[in-house]
Amino acid sequence: MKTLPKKLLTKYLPIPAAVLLSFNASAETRINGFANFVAGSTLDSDVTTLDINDNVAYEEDIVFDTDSLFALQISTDLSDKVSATAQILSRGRDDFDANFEWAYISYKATDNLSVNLGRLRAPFFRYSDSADIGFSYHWITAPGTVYDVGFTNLNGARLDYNNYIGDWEYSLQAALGTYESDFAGGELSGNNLVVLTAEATYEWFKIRTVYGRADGTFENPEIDATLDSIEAISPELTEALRVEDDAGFFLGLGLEADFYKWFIAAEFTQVDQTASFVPTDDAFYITAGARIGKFTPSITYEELDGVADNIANQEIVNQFAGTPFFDPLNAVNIGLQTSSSNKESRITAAIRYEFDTSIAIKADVRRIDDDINDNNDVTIVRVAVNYIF
Amino acid sequence: MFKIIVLLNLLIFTNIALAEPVVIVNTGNANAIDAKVVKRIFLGKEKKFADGSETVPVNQAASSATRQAFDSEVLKRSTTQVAAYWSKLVFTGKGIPPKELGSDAEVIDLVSANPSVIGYVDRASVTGAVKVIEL
Repeated sequence: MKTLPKKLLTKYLPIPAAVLLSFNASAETRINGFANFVAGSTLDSDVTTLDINDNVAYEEDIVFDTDSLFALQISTDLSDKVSATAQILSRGRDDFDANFEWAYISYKATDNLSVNLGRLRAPFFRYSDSADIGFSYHWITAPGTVYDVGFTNLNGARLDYNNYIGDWEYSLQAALGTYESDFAGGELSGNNLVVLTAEATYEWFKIRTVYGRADGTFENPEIDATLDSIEAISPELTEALRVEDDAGFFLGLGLEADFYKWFIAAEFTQVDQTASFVPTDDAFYITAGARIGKFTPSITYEELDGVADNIANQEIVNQFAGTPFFDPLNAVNIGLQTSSSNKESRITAAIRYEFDTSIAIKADVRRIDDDINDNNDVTIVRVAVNYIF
Repeated sequence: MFKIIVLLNLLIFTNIALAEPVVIVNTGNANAIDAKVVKRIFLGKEKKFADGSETVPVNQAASSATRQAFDSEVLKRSTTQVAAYWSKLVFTGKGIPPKELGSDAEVIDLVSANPSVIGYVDRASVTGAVKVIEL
C-alpha cells in the first residue's frame, strides 16, 4: 500500500497529466496493485477442463495462464469527497491483454454513504469486490460453480451505505446499469440491471442477501443460426428459446461464522434467465477452514445444478405433431436445452501460507465430478503465489 | 543445538513480553473511547470521535511486535488478516489503511501534536505528552 508523493508523480508524468494533477491542491494519488501467479495441471491424462469462455482451463501439461493475473490500480482524490479510480487488469486467460476492469468516480456524500459512477463490479457475491485478489481469501480462486457467472462488471451507478445499530453492523448496496461481456463463445449483454444487497454482521456472524434482475440478450453465431432456421416454422418456439431482451433474475444468500481460529461459510445462488433455452442454475458452496499460525488449511464443497426437471416448451412443439416439422423442432428444443445443462460437484482441499503481510503462498487439490458425463470427472492440482502492494 | 533453542526461545518470549500495546490519544481528546470504538476506528469503520471531530488512526510497521500484539488483542485478527481486510477495501475504493509509522516515538510525536490522531505504543514508551486510553 504505497502513497506516491505528488512531487515524484509530477516529475515522471507527462506534462498534461502533471498540470492536471497540480490543478488541485488536495490531489493525492495512490498506486496499488495485486498479482496472482497460478500454475496447475490435471492428474487425469485425457481430460481437460474449460473456463467460462469454453477455452481450455487445465490439461495434463502444466498451465500457467488460466488463473494468473496482474493488476494496477490508480486512485486520485479530486477533492475531500470525490475520488477517481482506474483498475487496469491483465488476465492470463486473455493472453495478458491489459483492460480497464474498473474506472469510476466515487462521491462520499456522508461518512456512511458513497455514490459510485462508471464501470464497476456488480455486487453479486460475498467476494465480488475482491474476487480477482487472491490475497484477500483462503482459496486460490473463489468457488467457480457459484462465482463463474456470465458477467461481473456493470456500467452505471452503485450506492453503498454502511452503518451500525448496537453491535450489529450493516451495509446496503443498490447498483443500476447495463452490462456487456464475452461469454461461452458469444456475447452477453443487458440493460435495466438492478442489484440490491443487504448485509449484517454481528461479531463472528455475517448474513448477506442479494436480489438482481436484468433484461438480457445472448448472441452466439451457432445458436443464432439454429434459431433462425426454425423461426419461419414456429416464431413462438424461437421466441421461447432465444435470449433476447428477456428478464433474468439472480438470488443470493451468504452465511458466515468466523471464530478466528476456525471459520465456516456458505453461499447459495440461483440464476434464472426466463424465456430462454438456458435452464435455471442453482449453485452453492460450503467452506470451512482453520487458522493455525501462518497456515490456513481449508476444505470446500460446491454443487451446481443447471438441469431442468422437465424439457420446456414441449406443448409448443406438440402443436406440430404429425407434421414434418415436428422432428426438427423437437430436436432443436431438446438439443439447445440439454447442451446448456450442467450438473457437477467439486471438492477442494487447500492450504494458504502467509509468507509475509503482502505475499501468500497456496496449494490446492480439486476433484470435479460431472454428473452428466462421467468422462469429464477430473482432479486438478494447483500452486499459487498472491501478491499485493 | 541446545544453545540455539534457548536463544530462539529467548527471542520469541522477549518479543511477546516486550509488546504490551496501549492506545494513546492527544491530551486534549476528552472523548469516551472503549475497545469497540478503537477496533472500529482502526478498521476504518468509524471516522469520527463521539464529539464529531475526525479520527486519524496511525499504525506501526507490520513487522513490529507492538503492531502484531495490537492486531491480535484489539482487532482480534492476525496482522496478515488485517492486511487482507484492507486489500479488499483499498481495491474497492472503500478505505485507505492507517499510515504506518516507524517507532513509538514517532507515534507519540504525532499524537501529541494533533488532537485527531489515535495510535498505540508499547506501554514502556508512554510519556506525559499523550493520554493513555485503558481498554
